[in-house]
Order: sequence, then C-alpha cells, then structure tokens
Amino acid sequence: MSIFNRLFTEFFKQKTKDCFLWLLLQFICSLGIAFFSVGHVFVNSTQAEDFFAGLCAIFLMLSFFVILIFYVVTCVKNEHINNNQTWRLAPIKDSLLYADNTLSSFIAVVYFSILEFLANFLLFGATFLLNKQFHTDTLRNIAEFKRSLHNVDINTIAVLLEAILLAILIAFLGYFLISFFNFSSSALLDFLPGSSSKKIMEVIRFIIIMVLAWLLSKANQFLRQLFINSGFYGIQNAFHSLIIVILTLVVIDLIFLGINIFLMTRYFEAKEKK
Amino acid sequence: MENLLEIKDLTYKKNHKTILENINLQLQPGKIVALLGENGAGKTTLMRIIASMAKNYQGEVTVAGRSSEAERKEHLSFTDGLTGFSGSTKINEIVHFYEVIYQDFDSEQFEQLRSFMKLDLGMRLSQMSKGMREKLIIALTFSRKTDLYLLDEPFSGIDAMARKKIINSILLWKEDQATILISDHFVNEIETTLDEIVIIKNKTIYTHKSADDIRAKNISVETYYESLYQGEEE
Repeated sequence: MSIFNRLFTEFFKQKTKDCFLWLLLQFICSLGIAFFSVGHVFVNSTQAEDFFAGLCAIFLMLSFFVILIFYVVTCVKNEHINNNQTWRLAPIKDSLLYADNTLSSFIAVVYFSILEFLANFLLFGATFLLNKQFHTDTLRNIAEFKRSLHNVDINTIAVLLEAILLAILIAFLGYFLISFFNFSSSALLDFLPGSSSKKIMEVIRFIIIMVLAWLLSKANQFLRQLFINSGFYGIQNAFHSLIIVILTLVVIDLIFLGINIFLMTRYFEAKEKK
Repeated sequence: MENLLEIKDLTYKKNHKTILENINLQLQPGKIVALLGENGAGKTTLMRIIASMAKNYQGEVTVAGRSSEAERKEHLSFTDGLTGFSGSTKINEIVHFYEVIYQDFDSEQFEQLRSFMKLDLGMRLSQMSKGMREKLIIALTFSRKTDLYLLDEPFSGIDAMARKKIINSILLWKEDQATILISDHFVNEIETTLDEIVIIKNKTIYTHKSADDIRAKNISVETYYESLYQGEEE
C-alpha cells in the first residue's frame, strides 16, 4: 500500500474517531428536546407513540445541523494536521500530504452523513413500528412518492446530480479557503519583523486574514461583473445555469488548490511545539 | 566515502532576521556528531531544515544523496514532540502509527527499547511525565532503521541516571553506518560517545572538529567548547 493510502487511513481514523460520540450527543439532545416539547407525561400509550414520532423528527432536523458542525470540526482538524510536525514528518511530498488530508476530511464527512442516515433510518423504523398513525401516514406518502416518480424525467435527475456535485465542490472550497487563510497569513507573518509578544503576532495575523478576505471579496465582485457584462451568465435554463456554476466552482477550487500547494510546499512551516 | 549529509551555502532568514548564514557541513556515515551552540544559535533550526520542516531557505541540503524533501524524510529520523496526537492517545496507538507510516520501523527493536525505558504500552500521553515522554520519543526515533538520526535535546527531561544509561546504549541501537547528529546541553555526559563536534556561533558553523583531535590535546570536549565563549564573558 502506498504512503498516500496509508496516511489517508490514519487521517481518516483521526477525523472519525468521535463519530459515535457525536451521534450519542445528538440523540441525547433530541431526547431532551422531545421530552420537553412533545409531552413529558406518559399517561397512555398514544402519548408515548407521539413522543417517538417527535424524537424522530427532532433527530432528523438536528442531523443537518450536526453534519454542518462536523464539517467545521474537520476543517479545524485539517489545519491542525497541516500545522503539525508529527504529521509533516511523514515521508511524502507536502503537496500529496495536503491532498491526502483534505480528501480524508471530505470522506470523513461523507462517512458521518451515512451514519446519520442509518441512525435516522433506525429511529424512523422504530417509530414506523410503534406509531400506528405514523405507520399509516408513511405508507400513504410512499404510495404518493411512487406515483410522482412517473413524472421524473432526465432533466430532474440531472439537476439533482448537479446539486450533489455543487455541494461537493462547495465543501472542498470551504477546506481550500480555510487552508488559504492559514497558509498565507502564516507565510506573510514570517516576512514581517517579529515580536516577542505572541498576542501581538496573533492580532497581526488576524488583521492579515481580514485584509486577505477583503481582497478576495473585491476580486469576486470584479470577476462577477466581468462575467455578467460578457453575457456569460445570461442563460435562462436551470440545467445549463447549474453547469456554468459548477464549471466556475471547479476552476475556483483548482486555483485555490494550486495556491495552497504552492504555499505549503515553499513557505508554510510545520510548528515545532514541544 | 560519500557524505551522508551535505549542506552547501545554506542561509535561512525569518522575520527580517538572519538565523543561519553560509552554512557548509558534510557528515560521513557511521558517526556520532554533537551539534553545539548557545541558546538561540540555530541548532534546532538547522535540524528542522535538514528534516524538511523549515522552508524558504537558500542553499542545498542532501541526505544520502537525496535532495527532495520527501526523499530526505525517508532517510532520517527526527525526535518529534508527538504533539500531533491528543493526550488520550496510548503508546500502542502511536506505535501502530509509526509502523504504518514508516516502512523502516522495527517493532521488535521498539519492544526492546520500550522495555529498557520501562514504558507501559497502555499508557496515555497525558499520563506521562516529561521524562517518560522524552524516553518514548527516543525509543520511537531509534526504532527506525534509517541513515541519519537527528536528536534535538533528547535528554532534557530525563533524570541523570536514566540519561547516563540511555547515552551509553545509543551505540547499540543505531545501525553501523547510520549517523547521529545530537544537540544537547549535557556536553560532558555525551562526550565519551562523540566522534565529531560541530559548533554554531554567530549564525554559522564556527568549527567542525574530530573529538579525538580535541582529546589529543588533553582537554575535554566540554572544556574546549566553553573556551570558545570565555573571551566574550570577560
């Protein structure tokens, strides 16, 4: 197995070791919210069934929120690995380490999303079996869904696939942007005169990040205006509009990936904390 | 004999300060070399550059004839503070990481070193004292069968008795043709094992001498090292 694959496995383990803890915490939160909102008096079995239906709905709603938090946590773990000497000593090029690290973060989020889906499915299944009304409503909804499938055409499927691709590209863009701010601010700081005060350096770094964010937003506005004026985005069809957006995101992602690899290879040093 | 480590015209600057300037150094295989210098001289920085941890330097660095950073890392073992692991990580999990990432990691050697250092595999990093952690780092470093060992103040938290025991055993742990570059403040304790000394002073290599040549003048390495700074104190 190559070093790339071996490192990927280790990165993935680091990022997913707390997955079940997250799900447990989510379940406990859902229980608490369901208990206080649906009803905390188990007078008869009907209220218990309602409680499970409420628990199922709350767990599902929290899922989107928790997946987002998990994504943010993987962004933080990503940068911890990029910064850290223990990981950077691995006998692999920095560019491949960065790609490995980022890819493992994305796959960790996908893995966690699958676990969320399974957890929701189990709760759904339990509610389906316990709650007669829920059972009836679900069967009716499934029948309606089956009927609506006949109206699904190739365009609908294409839009759905494009939406998924869009979500993937945005997720990677998030990782790349955070790395960009981390690498570029650190690299710029190394070129400035140092200070013995760590707090002053942190403040300067924060200012550098704000300036970079402002420059990026100005660049974004300029490019958008350029493309709008050229008529590039004047397409009315939803399918083709999405394609254009996807292509734009692919280009932006590749640009930031290239910049980050350049910065990490040439300027971004591993921290030597002892 | 081909040099194991070659550094040519190395200059490193950071935050508008020159840390190292015009460093030229060649080390041959099979040597134990002390890297000496006062605090802030640039010893750790030099090791980090060799280990590809420090960037944006001028000059060339090759280890076992390899100049690319990834290939250099394959041919050296650098004492790492293990800060990439959380405090709840157990020693056996760290060993597993080393076994997976470093193809030259010798698990049997580690078992011997672990037993020598009296470390429990089930112990977590947060449960370890500074000295125990340093012992673990040494055990992990020497469990890799590699060409160059970079030891950056490896004994700082270890008690005097254990330190003596470890220093005396270093020769047993390294491969015959492997070179150890060790920076340490306990010069008198390591000097019996030394083949060469390299002193960094005024941002450059002040001297690179054979330890035997110093001993031939009936002075210890420590005395020779201290004599270089005596004039400045006065």
